Amino acid sequence: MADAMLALPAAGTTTGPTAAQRAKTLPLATVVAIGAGVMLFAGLFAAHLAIKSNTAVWPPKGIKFDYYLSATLLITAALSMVTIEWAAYGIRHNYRGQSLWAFVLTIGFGVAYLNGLYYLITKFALHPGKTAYGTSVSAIVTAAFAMGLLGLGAAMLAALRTAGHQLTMVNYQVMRATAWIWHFAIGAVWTAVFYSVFIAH
Amino acid sequence: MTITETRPQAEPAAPPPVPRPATETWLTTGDHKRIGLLFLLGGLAAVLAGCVISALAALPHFGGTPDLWTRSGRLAGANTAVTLTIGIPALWIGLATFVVPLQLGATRLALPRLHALALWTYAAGAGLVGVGYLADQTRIASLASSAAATTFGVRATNATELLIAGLAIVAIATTFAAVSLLVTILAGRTAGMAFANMSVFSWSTLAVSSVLVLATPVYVAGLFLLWFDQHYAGSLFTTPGGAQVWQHHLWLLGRPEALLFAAAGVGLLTDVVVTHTRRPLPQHNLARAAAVAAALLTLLFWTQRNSVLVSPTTPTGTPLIASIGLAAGLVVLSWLGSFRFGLPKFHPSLVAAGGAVAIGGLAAVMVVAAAIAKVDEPARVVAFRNGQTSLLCLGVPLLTLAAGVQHWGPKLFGRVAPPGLASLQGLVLLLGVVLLAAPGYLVGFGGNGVSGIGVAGSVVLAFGLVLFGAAVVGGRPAPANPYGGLTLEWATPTPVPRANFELIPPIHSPYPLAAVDQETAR
Repeated sequence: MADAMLALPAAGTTTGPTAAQRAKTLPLATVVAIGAGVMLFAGLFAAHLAIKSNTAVWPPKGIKFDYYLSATLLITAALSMVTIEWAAYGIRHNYRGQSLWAFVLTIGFGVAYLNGLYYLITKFALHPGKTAYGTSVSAIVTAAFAMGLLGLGAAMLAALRTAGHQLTMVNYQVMRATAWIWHFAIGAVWTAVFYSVFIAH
Repeated sequence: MTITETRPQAEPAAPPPVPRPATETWLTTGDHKRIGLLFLLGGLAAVLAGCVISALAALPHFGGTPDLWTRSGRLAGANTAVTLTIGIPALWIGLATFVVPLQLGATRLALPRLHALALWTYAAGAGLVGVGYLADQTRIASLASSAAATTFGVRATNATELLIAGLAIVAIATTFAAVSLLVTILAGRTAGMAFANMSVFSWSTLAVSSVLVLATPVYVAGLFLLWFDQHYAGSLFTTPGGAQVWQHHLWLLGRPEALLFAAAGVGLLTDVVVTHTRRPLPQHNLARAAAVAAALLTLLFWTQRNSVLVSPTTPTGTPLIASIGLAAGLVVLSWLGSFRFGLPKFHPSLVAAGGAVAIGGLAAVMVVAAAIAKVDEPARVVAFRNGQTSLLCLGVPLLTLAAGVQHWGPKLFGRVAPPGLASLQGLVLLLGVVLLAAPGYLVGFGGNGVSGIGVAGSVVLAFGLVLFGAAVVGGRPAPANPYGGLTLEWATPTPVPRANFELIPPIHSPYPLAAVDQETAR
């Protein structure tokens, strides 16, 4: 019977995953987590659209859209998506200096994006309690802000690890996962919010 | 010239590592077995607390009335939240976290730190829910209500906001755990463990985790909207269209999670029954497909236009719940088909498994009876629905999970429970669930609600849960494979070591130990 068995590590030892296993696991986990994030926003947009389709006057009178700021945020998000890819390129080809500069720019764009978003939330005058429109749009924009914070946190962590020589071409998949999170949390989320709230209202 | 070589002195032996205190190792653990046990313990405590709360709710001192089971009150709401949104999911996550990596031949979870984060976030969220209910009168008495209360112009209390935050944190933790389980199944399987070779429970876990990853964030979105609505005294859920949002984002019976854990039982019970028949299931592929379908079909809850009178558990029933019942029925037929080669050998887990099947059957009979008796008055429909909810959302998952805990008890606790006590537990749980559901049915069919029966049900259910501990403590040490199980978890030593396996058989089928048995027989 023992011949029919495969030898595995002896009990009491935990060898942890190999680099190849980790390379497979982390991107997969990131994709699944992003899927959950997509469903979160799908839920928010579904609620927004359900109320919109049952309301005669939409949006309520008195709402003024700040197209300038919202479009600026879109451009900022798009630029940050380019710079984080530059950071990923630097990590992949072992150009650490380039990567650090790219991270500085990305984080700068991220802070600018969150700052603009915060200004938009406070300036938009949605009055969340007055109308269902105000409640749903406030929830969507605040969720976008929270998601942006998550993306910024991931990018800052990756930047610190790069500065400390912990993130190199050997564990490039960590950088790939960070970039995917950024693309979703900043780029995709704001594109969806911009279209549904500012363009297709 | 002489060269004098000096022999380097031997390095002084390193002092032995100081063992960390047990509490620290449990608090910081990333071991799936410990995390699973902690989830199980927490879930058990939550369901027990729910029983106590529902018994207290009926006492006059707490504002109990004879028709308690047909109205939403503060304590009844707490009971629903604690039992159905915290307890049952925690029990399922705990069992899946412990068992599934063993069934896959994995030495660890793919994302152990995420799973540990899920555990402690879950505990924190559950604590916030408890504090929310204890602190003050909460306005969101229960998500079991099919329509939101009108709260326009009145800001929520801090207790309400705490409750919403707690429920959201529990839901986020559930998503973390589901992501971890999903990635473990997709990327953590051992060599030879192809998808086709996975056990039915692992397949079921794959489907349930997928549904949780898709559905729970939508619930979180609903809670986020609810917080905004309550904090700013809005009218989101009472404006046109808002009722639909409430029903599909927040209402307990309008979301896929309503019957998800009952559907999860299809896969779990298949592994239990197959193990005790001690031969591979001839219709394995059918059972696997039906177990996955039962879980995935719950996603169609979002497509239904629910109302007080039309919901998955109302007398009219729905094609959706019938299709889930059909999938479950196919699996039961596949078990019965395998019995022609010999009946399963008795094990207490089969008592609980039989109880779960009986409860599912009883719920189906009740739907037919209600259709014949024309239960269509709103108050009676709501009462009937409470009875059905007790059976389908609480009874089936609880009996299923009890069967699973008894079945995998030798691996979970390293002990075999005394058969008499464990069988008694299954029967007591079955009795408790039926008593708990009875008042709703009585009112639904035009009788008088007798809250005493429901209180008795809560007490009996609590007693059944306490028997868990007694059965574990009173058991004898378990051998590695006490039932001659054929799936991979039975290849582990008992108690299961840190790395799970010492030796692992070659895997060419969903029942790898059957091949080893044949090899040994030759």
